Amino acid sequence: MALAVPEKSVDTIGSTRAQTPTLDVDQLGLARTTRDVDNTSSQPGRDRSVWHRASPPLSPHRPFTWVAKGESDWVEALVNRKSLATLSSFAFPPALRVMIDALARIAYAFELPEGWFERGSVGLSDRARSTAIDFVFRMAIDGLLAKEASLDVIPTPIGGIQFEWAGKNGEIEVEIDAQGQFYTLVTLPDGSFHETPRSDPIPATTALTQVKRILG
Amino acid sequence: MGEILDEDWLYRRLHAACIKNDGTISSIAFMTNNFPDEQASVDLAKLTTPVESVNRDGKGHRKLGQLQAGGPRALGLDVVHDPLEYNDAHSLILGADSKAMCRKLARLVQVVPGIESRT
Repeated sequence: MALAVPEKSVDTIGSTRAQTPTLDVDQLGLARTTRDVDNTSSQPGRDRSVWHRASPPLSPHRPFTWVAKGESDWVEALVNRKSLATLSSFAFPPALRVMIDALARIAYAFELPEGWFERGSVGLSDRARSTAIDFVFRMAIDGLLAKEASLDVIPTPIGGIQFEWAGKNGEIEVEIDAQGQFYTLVTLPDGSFHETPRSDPIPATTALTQVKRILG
Repeated sequence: MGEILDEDWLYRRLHAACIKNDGTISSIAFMTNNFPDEQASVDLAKLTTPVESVNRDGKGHRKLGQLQAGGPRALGLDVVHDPLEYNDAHSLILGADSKAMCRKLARLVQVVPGIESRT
């Protein structure tokens, strides 16, 4: 079965213009849509009507609907941690499957309503979403998505998102906060923890380097 | 306040998104809007039931995690019974002030199988 990716689906991945599977290193500096940083306690400009729906509706602008059999499958797959790619009969290369699932989890986090975790919690901010998408692409370019380590992508209650791996050389959490800043928590095999201070976020490149060290 | 023994079980409501591929719990489970949660709410299992606990906040997509009180205490945290008007089982894990501590707490938690909140 040919892999038909509707142009609209690709173009709506986050706020950046994304390229279909072949990624060019020269494209690392992806064009960004300039947006104000979202206040985590309120997110003006977001479509709040989505928060009153029981589940996200099908839409030509929702990425990956061409993969899922139906709306309920899409939501259930994400909530219950199933690989979205398994809903299609296409034989995805592992790295592409990981990327699809990571991007789908980012999309899911963006749709989370206020109060999803507890009172006052918010879904993914615009800035965190675009930063997270860029980070996924950078990991793909660096070959990190092809590593044999299970990637978990988990929304934080404060408008950010967190990538987690357990690798050959320990464990790592890479958090992108609502302002698009990076923090990491590394657990080494000796049980020691190394945590980025909240007052001193790190660049994405440093986070990538740490991920590479952990995954081996 | 009731005494909580080290071997007493505690329930922590978990959003399904906090459960990782391998069934373990993310450190996010012990974050709050003010990150991290220095007063993590739990239910004392002997004063409630799994179904009651998982449905207590009336929200969907909730699973239930459990851990023994001795676990957080071994990490240097306090576990105290803090009954509320509407929840006699309410208790608190006090003192988780870093992401690393959230991670350590998350490692202590097991997901209670077959328990999910009503949507």
